Amino acid sequence: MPTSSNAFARDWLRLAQGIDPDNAMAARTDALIRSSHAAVDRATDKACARQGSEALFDVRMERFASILAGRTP
Amino acid sequence: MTDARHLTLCEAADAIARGTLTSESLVAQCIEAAKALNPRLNAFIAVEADEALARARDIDRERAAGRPRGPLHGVPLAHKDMYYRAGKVSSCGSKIRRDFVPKITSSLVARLESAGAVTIGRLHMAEFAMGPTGHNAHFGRCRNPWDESRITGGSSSGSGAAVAARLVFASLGSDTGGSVRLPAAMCGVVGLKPTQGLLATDGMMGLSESLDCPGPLARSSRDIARLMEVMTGRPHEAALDGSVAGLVLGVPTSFYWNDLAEPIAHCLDRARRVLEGLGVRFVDVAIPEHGELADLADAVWTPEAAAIHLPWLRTRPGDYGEQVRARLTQGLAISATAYLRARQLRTLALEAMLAGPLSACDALFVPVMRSTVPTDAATDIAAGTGMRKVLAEIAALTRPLSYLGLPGLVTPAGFDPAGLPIALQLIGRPLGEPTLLRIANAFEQETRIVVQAPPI
Repeated sequence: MPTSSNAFARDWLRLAQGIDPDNAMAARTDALIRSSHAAVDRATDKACARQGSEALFDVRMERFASILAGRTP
Repeated sequence: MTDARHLTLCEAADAIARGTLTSESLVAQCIEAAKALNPRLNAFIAVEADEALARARDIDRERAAGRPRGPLHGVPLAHKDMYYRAGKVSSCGSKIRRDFVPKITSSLVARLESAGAVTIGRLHMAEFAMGPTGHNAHFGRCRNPWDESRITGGSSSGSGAAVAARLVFASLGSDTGGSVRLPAAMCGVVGLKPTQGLLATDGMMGLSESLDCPGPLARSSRDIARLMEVMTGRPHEAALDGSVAGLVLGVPTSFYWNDLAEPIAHCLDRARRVLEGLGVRFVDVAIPEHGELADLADAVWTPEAAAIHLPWLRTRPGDYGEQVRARLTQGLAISATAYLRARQLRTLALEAMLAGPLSACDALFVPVMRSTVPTDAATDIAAGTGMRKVLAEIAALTRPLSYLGLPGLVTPAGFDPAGLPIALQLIGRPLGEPTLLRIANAFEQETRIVVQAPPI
């Protein structure tokens, strides 16, 4: 988990919600952010590594919609 | 006619068309039942009795004058309270939009009403469609008609409960990670998450622009087919009449069948034998890595939802339920690169599914959930430390499909020893809804599980 996300979460709680980052709710939110961020990072890293850079290089997101719509991408 | 609420949507619509049943009497029965049962089920946020009865009377006059509106003529429906109708409140299950009055009407609702449907109220939902259990910090929880101590599933909680309890004949839900399929499965009704993009999303509350998917819930696949025909303008109902003999269902050799509760495994084994008896062939298929698709879905929907909600997160954070606020906050921490990579990977994951398992069969045959229907007590977790794990487990077998954008249909397959519904899930190719409906319809006709009503 990058430190920047942790700092972001604490800043967000303090600045946007007026919540002391050291209280229990802030701690829970902070833990949630850390766990979800770590899981997402792990999943994207793993999937990207499996696909390889070449496969990702030319992906265009409209291809997804074209496939679902039954059009040749 | 005292038991007209127990007809299917198609049976009710056809009876009204023949003149053996009036819309007014049917709407009145449904409203009376909704008012009587809502204190227990909490399936409706609002019942619109006077307006619905007036529309039903108009519709009966039109039929008598030889001007039927369409294939849903006079049938009472209600929808998840996030489908806008111009001039009418749409709360989105939230405190923030409790009194929001949209200026536009969802084109899906407009199509259903143009075909003769009578909307009788607004249905319970998770706050801003975020939550797979049926809990709501502002409106209380929706209760399962089969056992009020159990959850309904969500986020289309009222849609599942109201259809199961015979308060309406069908409803619209929305499915961003399982929100049609989970309440359909837990409440013992049929639910369809169509191919991403097939149904219009205008006039519907947004959660995730990439994953949001409207979908119908009803008491039979034939009812779903009729609704899809009305909403898409493409034929669906005629496709039900072909034989399923010779169709091939793929059984994934990994992920979906791991760690199933014994009643689920036993029930789906019986369902498989029923389908084999109808001539369906089953083959084992290897599927691409699925375990990480739920996390990739999180990388897409949580930042999209956080982007939508950021102004209110800044100005009205205290007006969110604790769990919803915590989940939205997670989205603020997903980096732009993770979000974009997850969207790019979506295309490659879909291509791998189409080139792999879905090239070897007509559809996949999988469970909807690993566990039986949970209790309220086990899932009322607000934003506690175990929240992410509990929510992820409930939707573990539905979220991959949302990420892939493929169609998925759930239909009741039996009951566990406590009498709670168990469902099977069919996953199709893009625009493969007619095939899924045909298989499910054959199963429903053979087993008649769908006609069983909850003991309420």
